[in-house]
Formats: sequence, structure tokens, C-alpha cells
Amino acid sequence: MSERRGIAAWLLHALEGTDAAAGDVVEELEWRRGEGRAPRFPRAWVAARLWMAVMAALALVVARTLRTMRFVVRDAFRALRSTPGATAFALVILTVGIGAATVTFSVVDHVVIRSLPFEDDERLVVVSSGGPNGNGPVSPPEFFAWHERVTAFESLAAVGTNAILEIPGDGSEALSALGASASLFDVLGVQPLLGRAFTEDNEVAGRDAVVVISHGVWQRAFGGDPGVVGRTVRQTPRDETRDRTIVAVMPPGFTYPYGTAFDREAWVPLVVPAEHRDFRRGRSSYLQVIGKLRDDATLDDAITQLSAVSTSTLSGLSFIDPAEYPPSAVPLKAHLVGGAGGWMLLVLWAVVLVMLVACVNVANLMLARSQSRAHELSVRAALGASRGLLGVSLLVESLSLSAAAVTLGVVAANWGLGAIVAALPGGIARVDEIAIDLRVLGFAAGAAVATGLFFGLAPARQASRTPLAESLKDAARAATAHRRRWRTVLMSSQVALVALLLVVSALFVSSFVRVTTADLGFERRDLVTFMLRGMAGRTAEALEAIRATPGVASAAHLSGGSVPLVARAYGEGGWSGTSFRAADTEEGTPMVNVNMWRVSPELFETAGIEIVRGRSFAAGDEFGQVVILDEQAAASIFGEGTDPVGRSVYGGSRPATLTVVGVARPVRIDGPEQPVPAHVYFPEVAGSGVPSFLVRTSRPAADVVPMLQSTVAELLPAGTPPPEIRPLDEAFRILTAGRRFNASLMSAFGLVALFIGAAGVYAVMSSLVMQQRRELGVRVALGATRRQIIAGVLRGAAVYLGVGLVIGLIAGRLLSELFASLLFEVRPGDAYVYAIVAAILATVGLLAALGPARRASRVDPLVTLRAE
Amino acid sequence: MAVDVRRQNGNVVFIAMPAAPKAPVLREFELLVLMAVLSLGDDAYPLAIGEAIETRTGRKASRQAVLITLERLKDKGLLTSYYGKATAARGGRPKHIFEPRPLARQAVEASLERIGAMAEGLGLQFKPR
Repeated sequence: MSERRGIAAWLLHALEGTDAAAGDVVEELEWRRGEGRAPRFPRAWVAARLWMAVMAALALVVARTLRTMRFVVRDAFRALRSTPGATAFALVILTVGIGAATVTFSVVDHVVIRSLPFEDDERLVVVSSGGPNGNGPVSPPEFFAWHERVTAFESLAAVGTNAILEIPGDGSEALSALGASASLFDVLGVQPLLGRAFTEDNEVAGRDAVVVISHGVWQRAFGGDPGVVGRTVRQTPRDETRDRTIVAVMPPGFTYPYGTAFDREAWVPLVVPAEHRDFRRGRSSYLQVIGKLRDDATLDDAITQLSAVSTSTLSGLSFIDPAEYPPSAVPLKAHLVGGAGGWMLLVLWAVVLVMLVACVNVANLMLARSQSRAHELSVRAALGASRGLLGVSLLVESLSLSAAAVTLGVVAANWGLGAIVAALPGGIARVDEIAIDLRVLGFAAGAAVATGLFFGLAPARQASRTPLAESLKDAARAATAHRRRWRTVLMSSQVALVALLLVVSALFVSSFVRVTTADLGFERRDLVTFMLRGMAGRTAEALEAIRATPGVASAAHLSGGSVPLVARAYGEGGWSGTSFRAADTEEGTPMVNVNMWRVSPELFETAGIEIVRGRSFAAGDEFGQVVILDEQAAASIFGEGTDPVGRSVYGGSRPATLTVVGVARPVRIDGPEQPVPAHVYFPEVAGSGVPSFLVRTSRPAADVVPMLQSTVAELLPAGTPPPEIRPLDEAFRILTAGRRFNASLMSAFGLVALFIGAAGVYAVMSSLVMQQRRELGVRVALGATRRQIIAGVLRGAAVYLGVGLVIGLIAGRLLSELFASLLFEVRPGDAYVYAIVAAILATVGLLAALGPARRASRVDPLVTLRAE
Repeated sequence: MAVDVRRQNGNVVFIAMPAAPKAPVLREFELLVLMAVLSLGDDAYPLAIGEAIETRTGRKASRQAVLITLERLKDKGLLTSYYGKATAARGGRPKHIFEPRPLARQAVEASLERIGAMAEGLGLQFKPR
């Protein structure tokens, strides 16, 4: 036969197991030759005949498979319908598990896992400058030095400054354009859709009247006009108006900075004023820097080079020690994800645990069902049904259940996703991209198949392997020790998983409680803050009016830095810094960098900042003569354990010698989880800057705010917009939103898992009691009391609970080391956490077993023994 | 399910018995194939069955249609099959022989009865070719 016939014959043999069909073709050919009707091209004729036979065999296989599957699916649905209660219970548990997992995966996938929409996004790095308050914006001289001398980057770009543009159209639209260096588009690897982006030549005043717009603006304001390049938009900086020429349109979907709540839609050349190009007027830091690493450079290479260049650029400056505060470089994705990445991934693992608990619970349920159907399955096997097919039928039953659960779960997830996204803490990147898309649906489908196989394999295996003779015996004895062992192992596994999840939940709830009760160094309750612009020289008048407002217990003002918590919570304001040394040390002694405030004397009392040594400011204290240090500044300047009151410090922006009159407790200006920089206080200077006011209310802040607003409105010049009055409690809630959300979510998962686990314990104990009713009947007949029966059943449950608990607690202890960095003032080994979890789980587990235990105690020996 | 009523030891006893299986309804080509199998006896293999149908009825019977119909009749419980000896004429390959089960003859008879019942009174004349 030819090569083609060989393949066809091989296929036929594979499908049918013999060469009989090929033999028919050979015989027919010989018969035709004998009849004188030999085909003209015998090889082709034989090949065609064989392939037709292959098609027929394939059609038969497909038809048989479909018929078998129809039978299997019908059998599975019949079995599910026959126990509607158990089916509904399993469906609810699986739906909750899969729905929660789908929502969680959708959030975590979009925020943490997915790549950024930039070319070679893994090489994009955000570079920050070092400082006493942590890493932050970069000054222009540093950026230029890095741009020129750091070779680890293929290209480096900076963004900063803003320009307000008026887009023409029906009712002009005001657009906030971002100043960007021309290299930004190279770094991000994006080419304009139309035109050419601006170049370095445009980064000079006078040549910078150009703008690049987004695809959205092009469509919205210019109707997608292909001739938009060359048209103009008006900018209105202060009192000057000028036009900028559109030079390029970016492709759809492009924006930078990426992942923020507010999409930038226009970019103008970044022009650095001459006075910012060196440090003669101090260090103005306002640039965000992003770079693309070279293929052969690592992040460590970049950091080393950046530090070296920063050190040489900043050396000799009095206000910063570059060696103490080196720059940092972080991958862009990690920068966007920030602290959310760690706890989001943990939440994903937690929800996987919940799904596992649900699966183990349903597996136990399915085992119980297959056990109760053992007799039926054995009879069917005895009548000729294939054991393998019965096993497949049980597996299809499980997969049908999980398919229904995933359908309901996805619907529920789609419905609940909006609520979850709205509840997410602020400041998380890419939140607006979160949706149920194909990738998430793929995850849900995978979860459904995995869970269906997980809880369906055990009963399917049982059905296909239990000896016929054994299962055809009395049904009450069909619960072999093997099957009972499976169920108790599953129950202990479930308890272990619940214990593990409760340990994780308890650690995070504990952390949250510690965060919310942490000592901030001041009293934030009933304390509000606001800024008054346009009140130059009238601070004392304003303070007097505010103090006279009903409901105000005390008031103070400060300047030179933001009120505690406000900068970090609202992203406004910042800090001023200076440096000091002890006045009796030699010149050349390293200065200590500190943050500073200028405050009215009442600040410490109003804010509840404790003066631990010396005194607060008095009415006669003047700026430039006295200073109050916080404990950190005092220890850094004078050494630990030294009383600095009465001694002097030397330094400041206009170096002078100041007398220390008091020491205050440190204030956690950025919240309980951020480092506390050293701080100094100066008496307020009249007319200096825009003061912030702090007001302590004698009633709940919400009651006093309206009265404060009317007081302030009377003080402000006409036409001045009223300030926003913010309770510091609200700022604290914003800062702790991430912790709160995390703790709430972990608590919810823990409760769900506890409920599912309790249901599982109840189901397994009920089943075991049913199977042991003969033995229980005998014990009652021999004189056992109800109490003894109950105690016996609970003892049995306690053993399984105990095993699961021990395994779960040990696993929790080991696992908690992995996320120890996410905890706050709680150690993974804190014994009270494990004690609480053990107590909760033991109590709930024994309560769940109490029902079956009491049922066991009511067994009538006459009924059970007669039935046997 | 059928119920048989008997008297045993003075008591009336009801005994449940599985009902006699009913012959499945045959399609036209199934009827022809089944009748070919019945007529060919030990030599009922797909090639011969197809040739018998073509020769006796003049109707084209492709090998694939015959194969599929034979398997369908097996699934209906009307045929069994086994593999005969390999022969030189078939290049050393065996024949796939099909055998009728007891229900097969019953199914053919029932089909012919139905046809006859419908033909009664029509005055049609037909005879074997």
C-alpha cells in the first residue's frame, strides 16, 4: 500500500482495533479485478476507500461519545435533583467561594499583576531624591547631573510644573498640561499618532510654545481633525496669554503619569527657570523622574551611579548630607502598586484559602452522597454498567455543580465588583481599569474546573474501586473504615485551613487595632484644621475671633509646614527643614537635619502635644532667640539622656544661636506607620506665610464646623473662597483606609471560612452519628446515660478538631513570617493571637458537633437494634 | 415492570418481573441491513452485506453507511459481532462478522407487519426482484 494508505490503515487500526475494514477494501479490489471492473487508479481508489472508512469510524466514535456524555450528564443532573437541599447548600458554598475569588483576582490582577501598557515596562524605573522625610521629588540640578552622567539609563526624563490650557470648542474646556522633558516619549517607547513630539530644543523659554495632546482631546475638542497639527491652544499663566502650537497627537490610551485618578491629556516642554538650575537659592525639588534601564544594566547599577552623582552634586551644601539621604530607584510598576501590592497578594491567597475550605466542605458532602448511593451504584455495576463510567458520572456531577457555581459566582462578582472597588482605599493605581474581562473569566473557569475535580475525584475514585461484593452488603455497613477515614481527614483538613485563615485574619485585625490606637504624639479627636489665605498681618485678629466662636475650647496657628497627618492624607503641603548642632560643639561638627514649625504659644495645649521638659513658648518669646526641640532632635543634637533645657543650639537658615526652652514629645506627622523625623519649634513670626489653624472643640467637631465656617467667612476679604475645614480624625481615617479595608476583608473571609467550616463539622458529625447508631443503641441498652453519649461524641469531634487546629496553627505561624513586614506592632509569634484563634475554633467546632451529639443521645436502642 | 400473581401455600403472592423487552423501531436502511445479516448467516460482514443490498434491491449502499448502520444496530441490542479468521484474499486481515441477536428477527417482523398493515387495502402489487 502507498504511504497515504499506510497512514489511513494505521488510523483505522487505532480506531477499531483491527484491520478488518482494510481487509474489506482489499477484498473488494480483488473482486472488482475478477469482475473486470478494476478501478483505473487502484492505489488512489484504495486510499480513498480507506480514508472514507476512517471518516466513518471517527463519526462512530464521536456519536458514541456524545451518547455516553448525554447519558452521563443526564445521570448527574438526576442525582443532583434527587437531593435538592444538599445540592443547594453545596451550590451556595461554591458560589460564595468562586465569586469572592473572582472579585479578588480581578482587583489584584488589574492593580498588581498585569504589565504596564508601555514598551519594555520592566525596565522603567522611578528615581527619587533622598531627604529627611523619605524619598521624594528631585531638584533640577540633580536631574541634569544624572541625565548627563548616569550611564545605567538608556534615557532619563522628568515631569513637573503645570500649565492650564484652554481648548477651543463649544464652551472652552480647561486642560491641565504637564511639563515634561522631551525624552519622556523615548523613555516610554511611544510614538505619536500624528506629527512629531517636541525636542530638547523646545526646553528653552521662547521656543517652548508647543504642546502634545492626547487622542481623547483630539477627538473631543477637535473632532478628530487630521489637520490638527499646527492648530493652536491658548495658555493663561497668570496675566499673560499666549498660544501654543499643537505638534503631535498621542495614540489612543496613552497617558502619563499612568494609573492616577486624574488622566493627563496634554504635555508641554519642561522649562527650568535659571534660578532653579543651581543651588544658590536653596534646593527646590519638584520634578518626578523616570528612566529606562539599559539592557545590560541592573537596578543596583543605577542606584550606585545615582548615589555617586548625587554625592558630588550636593557636596558642600549645608542643608543636606547626601551620604545620609541617598537617592532611590524603584521599578515603575512597584512604584505604582506601592504598599498595596503586599497586602493585595495576601488577600488573594486568603481568598484561595476560602475556596479550598469550600472545596473540602463540598468534597465531604459529595463523599457522603456517594456513600449513600453506594448500594445503587453497586447494583448498576452488577447489571453491567462500567465502573469507570459510574466514576465519570460522579465527576460530571461535581463539574456540573462547579459550572453552575461559577456562572452564579461571576454574576455575583460582576454585581459586587462596583461596591468593592468603591470601598478600596484611595491612592491605588489602575483602579478605574478593574473589570470582569476575559482573563478574569478564564480564571473563574479554571477555578471551577479545579474545584470540580478537587471535590469530585474522591467520590469518583471510591465509586470505581470499591469491590462489588462489599458494597452490595447491608447499606448500614457500607461505610467502610476507609471511607470514614477519608471524611474525617477531610474534616480535619478543613479545620486546619480555617485555623490558618483565622490566624492571618487575627494578625491583620490586631495590626489594625494597634494602628488605630497608636500614640501619635498629639490628640487628634475633636481637632480641626484649615488654612486662611489673604489674611497677611491679621493672624492675631483671626485667632481671637476663632477662640470666641461657640464650641471652641482652644485655638492656635502654625506655619512652615503642614498640620500633622494632612500632608500625607490629602497630598497637600509639605515640610520645611533646617539643621542644627549643639552651640558648644566645634565648627565642622555634623549638623542634624530637622523639620520645623513656627507656632503660636497655644499650639502645644491645643494639639495635646506634651512638653516633657522645660516650658512651652510664652508671650514674650521671639523668633530667632528660643527654640523647643522634640525628644528625637534633643537626642540627636545633645545625645541620649541629656537635658537640653537651658543649653543652646546653633544653625538654621540664617545661622544663629538659640536657647532651648523646652522638649516636646515626638509627633507622628505622617501617621502611625511612617518614620518620625526630628522636629523643632520656633515662635511664630507675624506675617510669615499662610498660617494653618488648629482648633480644639469642646463638642463633637461636626457640630462646631458650621459655626467656624461663618466666623471664617466674616474674616476673609470679599471674594475669597472659604477654606475647607478638616477634622484630623478624617485625615487619620484616610491614612488608615488601607489597613481598615484589609482588616475588614480578612475578617470577612475569616467569618465565611468559619461558617463553612462549622457547617462541614456539623455535616460530618451528623453522618458519623448516623453510621454509628447501632453501636450507640447498644451503649444505651447497656446503661450509658445521655450525658455520657454526648460527651463521647464531642470527644470524638474534639480529636478531629484538635488535629486540624494544631496543623493549622503551626502552618499559620510559619506562613506569618512571610508577611511579617505588613504587620504593625504585632509579631507573628504573639501567643495571644493563636490562643484566641484556638478558642474561637474549638468553641464553634464543638457547638457545631453538639447538635449531632444530642441526636445521638436520643437514639432508641429498641428501634435501632430491631432494624438491624 | 410486570406483576405475576400466584398462590403459594394458600397465600396470594405478587411477584414483580421485568417486562419482556420491546423490539426497537427500525429505519428503512436499518431494516435492509438487518435483513441482509439474517440472510447471509456466517458470512455477514460489511462488504458482503453491502453487496447483498445492492444486488437484491438495486439501491446503492456505501460501505460507510453499512458500517455505521451495523454499529447502530449493535448499540440497539439487535446484533453482536466477532472477528473471523484472516484470509489470504484479504491480505491476511480478518473479517468482522455480525450475528443477529434474538430480538433482531422480532424487530424485522414487526417492521414488515407495520408496512403490511399500512399497505392493506391500497391494492399495491409488489414482488421480490
